[in-house]
Amino acid sequence: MRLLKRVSIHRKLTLIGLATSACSLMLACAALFTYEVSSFKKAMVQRLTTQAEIAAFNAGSAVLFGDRTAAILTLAALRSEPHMISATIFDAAGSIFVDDRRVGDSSEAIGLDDSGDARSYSFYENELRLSEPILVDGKKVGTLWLRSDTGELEERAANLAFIAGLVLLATLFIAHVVYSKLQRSISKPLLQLAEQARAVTIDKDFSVRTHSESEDEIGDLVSSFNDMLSEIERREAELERQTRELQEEVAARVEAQRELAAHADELVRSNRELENFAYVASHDLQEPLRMVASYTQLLAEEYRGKLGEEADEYIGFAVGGATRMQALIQALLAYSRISTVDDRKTTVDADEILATVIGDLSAVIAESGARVVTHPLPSVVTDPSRLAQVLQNLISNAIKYRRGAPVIEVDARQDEDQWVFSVKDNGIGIESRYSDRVFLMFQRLHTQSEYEGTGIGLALCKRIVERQDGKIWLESEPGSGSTFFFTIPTAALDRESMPATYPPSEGNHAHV
Amino acid sequence: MNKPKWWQRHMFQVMLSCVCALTLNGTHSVALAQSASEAEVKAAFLYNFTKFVDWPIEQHSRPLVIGVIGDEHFEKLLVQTIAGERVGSRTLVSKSLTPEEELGDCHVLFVSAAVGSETPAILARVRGKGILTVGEAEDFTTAGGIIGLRVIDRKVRFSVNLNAARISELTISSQLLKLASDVLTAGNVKAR
Repeated sequence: MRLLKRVSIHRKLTLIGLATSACSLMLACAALFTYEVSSFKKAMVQRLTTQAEIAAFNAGSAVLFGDRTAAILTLAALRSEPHMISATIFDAAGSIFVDDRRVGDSSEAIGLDDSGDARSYSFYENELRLSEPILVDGKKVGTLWLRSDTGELEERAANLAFIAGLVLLATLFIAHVVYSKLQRSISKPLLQLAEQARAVTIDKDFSVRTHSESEDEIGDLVSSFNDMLSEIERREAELERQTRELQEEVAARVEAQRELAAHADELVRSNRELENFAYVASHDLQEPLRMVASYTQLLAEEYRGKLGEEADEYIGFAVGGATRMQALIQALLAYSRISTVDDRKTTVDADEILATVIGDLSAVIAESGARVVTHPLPSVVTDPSRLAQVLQNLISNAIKYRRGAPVIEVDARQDEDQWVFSVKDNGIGIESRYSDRVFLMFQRLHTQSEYEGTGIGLALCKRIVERQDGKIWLESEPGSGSTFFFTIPTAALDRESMPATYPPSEGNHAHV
Repeated sequence: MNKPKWWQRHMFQVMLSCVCALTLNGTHSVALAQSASEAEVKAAFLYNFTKFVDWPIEQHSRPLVIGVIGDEHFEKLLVQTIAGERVGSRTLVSKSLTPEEELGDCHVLFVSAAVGSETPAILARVRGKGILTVGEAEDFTTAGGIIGLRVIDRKVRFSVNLNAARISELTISSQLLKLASDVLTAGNVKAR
């Protein structure tokens, strides 16, 4: 069977056909042979029996009267039978009475093994042996013992075998021719199919098609295979198209990203240049400005009342301008430092920060008669000095834009993954159309004479909060006050160190 | 198919052993013949003849009677030979007779050599009566007897007068006739 694995299918089919034919034929031949041989044997026995019966009858009187000559004459009649080897008559006592044998035969005269009354025969080696009782008047007077060679049988068997062999060969030859032709209807489409599959696998040629005229399972197989190929071909085309589209899209995106990155780089670069420029400019402006401020102050102190009233007033303006300009530059430097100096984040207690800020502002608070209401604030992860800057700016603004005695409330609540700080005042408020503008640099809603200020404070706050991934916005009603909100994301550190919900409290009323 | 038979391949050995066997058997056979006396053989013949002869229907009374004339000793031997034997379904009986006695109820009549010159007369008496006559005289069959026993080459042989048998309405089987040393028919003598 292992050998068959490598044999082509058409050869296999032919082999199967031939094997089947050979098997059935051999079986038939064997049956025929067996039947023929057995019936021939039967005929042989029948013939020999008849001859033995006649001879035994004829020999009866001769045996009875002990006439060997007559007995020999009886047996001589059997010589005409070409296959007879020997004929022997035993007397009633079992001794050889007469023995007649074929010319040339010198085999041993075998003693009678069975002297029973019944006829018996046996095939022994190449002989048929028959013992026939010689009866006279129903009484056994002797036994006729015949040996006939079975050469005839062997000859016949040989002839049969020869004919069977010829028939087998002829049948196999014819069967081979017939099967070779018939199996093509099966193997040809299969081989074509195999060739097609090979073409598909190796050459990626999906356009090949096999045609089968047969409408059996192989025809179905071929048409199914063709359908499958069509489907694969269609999908292949579809896939190719989609791949091409995808590639184009990817290429476009890569290009866009590259441009975007270039733009971003450009922006970062120009922004940094701008910040650098702002920092360098304000830093370098400080030195000559200090000179101007120092000497104008010196001029005001040394020559007060000496140059006339008008001159004093002018010098006073110059000193005021220089001082404001210094404040402005300080604010600018602080603003630009936010981006040039990295934050140092740590876990800080917002309560402590607030307390420090209130302490720093104690002079202003006292002067304005403000009341700062504080609620318990959480610990947050941030740069403490930045948080202080934001709180200080917001509280300063609340005091600066007051309407009567200011009441300022500082609170914080948790909203999902961030802390929302709020600073609420009862000041003049901001019209909602300005609620974005106030966070822009140098955007002031009031003149310098109404409310002093650099116009940088809220811009600074916005910048700090946004750099720490937070947001800042305000809610206000003009005339009744405004509330500034800013957020700080809760880091994992906060969630562990802080209780999930901060207990609301009536707050500490800090009267300063 | 054409390969030599085993005995052909070993012909010499086989032949030798064959000769030995034959010689031994022959010796045995001769000894047997010598041991049996002439009278014994004749008694056996007499009994065996009955198996090959058909008697007319009216003679089918039983048992089958064998009469012996002129030899009581032979009759005694015959009694031993036929003791318990049957021919067909008939039992056998023998009796010793003198020439003067009534012979008609016999089936077989043995006329011994001792009867001598009276033989033709006896044969004349039983002629045509359905009696198988068997005699020892040399001219027994020519004198009208049916079966004549003779000793030739130390062997008991017999001749048959078919004509006489026909007259006595006896049918003698060809099986027996073929063993006869000579058979007399109506006009000619068939010799073996």
